[in-house]
Amino acid sequence: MSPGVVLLASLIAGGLGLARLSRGEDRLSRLATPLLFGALVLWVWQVVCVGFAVPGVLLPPP
Amino acid sequence: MSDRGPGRGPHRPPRPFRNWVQRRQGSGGSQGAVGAEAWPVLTVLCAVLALWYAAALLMNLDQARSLAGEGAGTADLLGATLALDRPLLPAPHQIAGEMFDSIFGHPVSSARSLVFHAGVTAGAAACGFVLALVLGIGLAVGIVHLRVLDRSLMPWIVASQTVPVLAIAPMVVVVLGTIGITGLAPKALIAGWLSFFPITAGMVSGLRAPEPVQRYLLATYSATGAQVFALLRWPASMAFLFPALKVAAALSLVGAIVAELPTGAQAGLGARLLAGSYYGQTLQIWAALFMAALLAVLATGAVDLAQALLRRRRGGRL
Repeated sequence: MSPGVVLLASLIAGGLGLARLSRGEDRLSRLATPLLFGALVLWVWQVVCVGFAVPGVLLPPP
Repeated sequence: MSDRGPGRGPHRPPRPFRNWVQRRQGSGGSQGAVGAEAWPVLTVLCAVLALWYAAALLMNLDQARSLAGEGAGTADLLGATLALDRPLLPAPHQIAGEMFDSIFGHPVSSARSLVFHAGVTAGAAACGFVLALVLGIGLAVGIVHLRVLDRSLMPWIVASQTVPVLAIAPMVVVVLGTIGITGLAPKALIAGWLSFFPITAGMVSGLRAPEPVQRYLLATYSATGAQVFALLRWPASMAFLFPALKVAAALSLVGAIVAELPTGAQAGLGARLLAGSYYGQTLQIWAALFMAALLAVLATGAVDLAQALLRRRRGGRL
């Protein structure tokens, strides 16, 4: 699977998950939303660095 | 709704503003009032200068004694203490002299001119400020209107400000330098990074400032989201935006100076500070610091001016 497809799928799935989580009013949802966002950022970072072979000196993967 | 747009018709400024204008125009014995306001400032200024001279005398005494020799009289020793080439703590008049020489003693285009270095730093700070303004307002609008951004992004925006800019600056410079982006862009980016937060925080508070009853009123007029934003949220946010802009203006200057430190820049106040510290030129360091402070005053003054213009346009209130 090409890194572009993985990236796009991750963004769509992450965005949908965030939208769904942010609707909740309970404490767990309030805590989980920024955590999921942080995890999504790290995952996208990893996919970009490894998938597109970004030189480590330029941007190392997480 | 008819009260929303001051300046859209006959408008009488509110009483506090009229009273303030009358005081400023001189009616009602304003000269005495202005003079009374100046005394505390002058007193503090004199106290700071006196403390500074005392500290300069104490800190530079050993160096002056070694230069003047054992047989020097007290007056000679004191004179030498306040006239050292590389004092530990320069006296205020030495800094003023250094600034005068650096500003007026060289052409503005010369690398020895303090105005040249201030211009380089001010350019980067201004670019960073504009970047922060666009990013800060854009993020705030998104956070206020989209719950997902509010919940997911806001904690990370707050967390981003806990990372020291001194740690980020070299990374940004190296990464951008690797892909061929050098010069103004890395400095502007770092200045923007440091200064976008107060704008975002201020604008989020400002855009949320209108009371629910005001939003309900607009809802009864079937106002669209864009109309609520333009007629209610945006005008209400101005009172929050300008104090945030003053903080951001000063921070962007700090960011630009910090960004000049790891780049090995040849120009800019940061480069001047670095060169001064390498060669022990304390006068040069202090002159650059005072120039940076002057730039910050000018930047916040520009924001004040913009605020005053907007306030006048809106009939004396913000």
